[in-house]
Amino acid sequence: MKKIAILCIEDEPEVREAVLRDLHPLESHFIIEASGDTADAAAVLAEFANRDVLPGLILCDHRLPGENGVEFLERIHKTEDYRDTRKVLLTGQAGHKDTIQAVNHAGLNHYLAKPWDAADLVETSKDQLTRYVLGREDVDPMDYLEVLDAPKLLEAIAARGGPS
Amino acid sequence: MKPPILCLAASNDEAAPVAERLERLVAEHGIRVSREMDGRAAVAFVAAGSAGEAGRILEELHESAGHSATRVVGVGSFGEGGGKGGPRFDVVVESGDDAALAEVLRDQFTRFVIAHAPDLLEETAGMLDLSMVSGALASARDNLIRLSGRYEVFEDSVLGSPDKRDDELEEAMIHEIDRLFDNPPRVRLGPGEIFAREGDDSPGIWIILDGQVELYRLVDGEDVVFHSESAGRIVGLMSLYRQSPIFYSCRARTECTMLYLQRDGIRRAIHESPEFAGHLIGVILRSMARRNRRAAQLLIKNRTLNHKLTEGKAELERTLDDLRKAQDRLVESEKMNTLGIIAAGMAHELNNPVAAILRASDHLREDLVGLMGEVQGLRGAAGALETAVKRQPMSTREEREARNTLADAMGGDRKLAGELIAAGIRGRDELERLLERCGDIPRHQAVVRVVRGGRLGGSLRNLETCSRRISKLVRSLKVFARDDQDWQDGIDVNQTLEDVVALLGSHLRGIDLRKDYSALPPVKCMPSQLEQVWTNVLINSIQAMDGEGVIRIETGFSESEGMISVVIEDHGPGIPPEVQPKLFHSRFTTRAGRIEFGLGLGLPISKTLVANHGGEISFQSEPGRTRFTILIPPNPPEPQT
Repeated sequence: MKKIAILCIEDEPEVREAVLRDLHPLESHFIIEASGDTADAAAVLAEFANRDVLPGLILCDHRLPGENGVEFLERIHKTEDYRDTRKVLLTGQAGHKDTIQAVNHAGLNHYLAKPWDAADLVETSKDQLTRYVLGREDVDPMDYLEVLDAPKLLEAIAARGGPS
Repeated sequence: MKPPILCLAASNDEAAPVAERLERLVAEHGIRVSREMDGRAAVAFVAAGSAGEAGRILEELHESAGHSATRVVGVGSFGEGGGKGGPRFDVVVESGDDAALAEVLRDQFTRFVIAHAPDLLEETAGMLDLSMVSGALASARDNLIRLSGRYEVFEDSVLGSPDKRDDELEEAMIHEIDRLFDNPPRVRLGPGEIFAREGDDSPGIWIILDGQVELYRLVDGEDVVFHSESAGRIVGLMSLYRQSPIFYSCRARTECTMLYLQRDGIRRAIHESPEFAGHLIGVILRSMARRNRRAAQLLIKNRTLNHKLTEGKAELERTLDDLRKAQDRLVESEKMNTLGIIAAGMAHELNNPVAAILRASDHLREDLVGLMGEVQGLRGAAGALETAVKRQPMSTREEREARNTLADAMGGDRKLAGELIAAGIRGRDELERLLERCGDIPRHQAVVRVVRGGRLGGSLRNLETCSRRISKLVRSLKVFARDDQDWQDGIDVNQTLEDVVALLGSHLRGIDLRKDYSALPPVKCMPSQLEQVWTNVLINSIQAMDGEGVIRIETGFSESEGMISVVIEDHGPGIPPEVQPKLFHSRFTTRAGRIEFGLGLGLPISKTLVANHGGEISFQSEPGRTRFTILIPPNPPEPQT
């Protein structure tokens, strides 16, 4: 069974730690990794590919040293490998223009403003991951009933004609 | 063809004898004698029996076409001719006197040829009185000579003669008019009197003898004067020449004396007097030249005005542009003022809660460690807490490497390794030491306690770090709002630099900092503001080099200039040329800088702060070397605030 990963990109260690801590409820079913900048994020994504781990969700800050979050999302969105990866901006500083750019060209799926609410962060992540799981032929929704949006997953399973 | 001689009478019997005698006289000269009233006859002989007959024939001849020039001779004894006031014979000859008839014929024929057929002089030479011909020629020659003299006057008038001034020419013309028209009456006008109106018909011209007139037209409902000085002496010529309605209305400006000449009069005068024609043309030419010059001047003036208008317009546009820019600057500075007030308020409001949070995190740690230390099974957790509190955060890459290393040491348990790293526990030995302090509980339970303790420590550390950052931001805001003005004497600038270097701590980790301090005189300054400047410039350099490389700080004092200099130089990529002119301008959002260093306002604020000290900040930048120089006087004039 292929594992699905969540990648959090955040340059400030304190904030990064807090995000990771808040994602704790998802740790049981997903690999959770963090990067301080987009160069490191690219390295982590490459490592995922090597280990046959699916990049399910990227939670990305906008203001980062070097390449900013929207630029990074736009860049990876152009490659087939990350087209269906769910992309969420978690930021306090993306302006109007950056956000529009992200929605139009980086396939941005959701925008979370800082400071965030832990429950909101987890719910958003679950919702995005549910969509990811439902979009993949090679992932069995049954495996995620416990942690993701069960009614939606069951509905999809029924539509496919029962458990595989 | 030679002109015939006529012999006319009431009857053929009367005409025949005279005609025969005449034929004998002219036959040898090839001239015909006709008894009919035909052709352009040279001489007509009227041989009537009575005076009444003669008068009737004379009348008939006078009225018939083609005989206006014909000389008429009466043959007989009936005085000089017909009725009173009627036509007369040019001469009368006795009917019987052949010699007299021949002489009269010669005389009258000669007169006709000289006056009306000079081209026949040669052909009819035998018929002519040569002495009379030579007299006529002499007289013609005299006339020619006289005429050519008059045409010289004409030429002079038209072409202009160096010894003839304009007023002389005008005077000569008026003199000629007086001669030709027998002193025509003068017209006198008072100032403001109008003597010609635009659009009226004018059959003549006005010659201004004395005084000034002006010519004007109605333009957009207003009288506009076109010629005043340039009106000249003759008015109405254009209309006369073009036989069109008057173009300019004319008005006397001063007392005026003028002559009015009608078209017919002018025609006659030109015909009779080449002098007048010459004067007239000369005066017209001068008059037109004057108006033409005036028109040219107007054109030039117009162009100049247009040019000035264009310039004025451009000037106005520039002024408008400047005003807009000034307004933008005002808005900008207003924004800064508002921001300053808000910042000062925020700084006050934030200061206390942040201080409380900072203190509370300290107290939390003390109490937690104290509390956990008292419980046997929690000492390991307390140790993990204290270790984690002091841990410097690692980069994500370092964290992954540490996790992998730890996982290997833990027999491949990546999950546990991840939890331990997150809890600030980085080695197997460290874990074992902490577990030992957990007392007599199952190992997995002890691990959970140690991890939790470590996480507590991490959270406390984050709480403290972030509170300090907020606290620093508050301080920046206070300085920015100039709320922190505190002039102090005897400050060592080198020491303020050292304080900043100490404060920047972790930011300088990758930097090879080379300090070259000179002994400096004590300075009167606001130390916190200077520190803010050093911080801003240093942070700028650190960021420019991505946190790695050499930064040089150099201080010095120039006694001659009375200035302390602080130079901060980095070896980063340099400031892009397009950004350089804007470097000290206020900006809010254009930089992806870290919020703790003044909202991207670092350098603009620094400029203000240095100016507060009566100093200046400048920079030179090229790829590989950027050098900020700050000059401040040791004893700045304290600004009034």
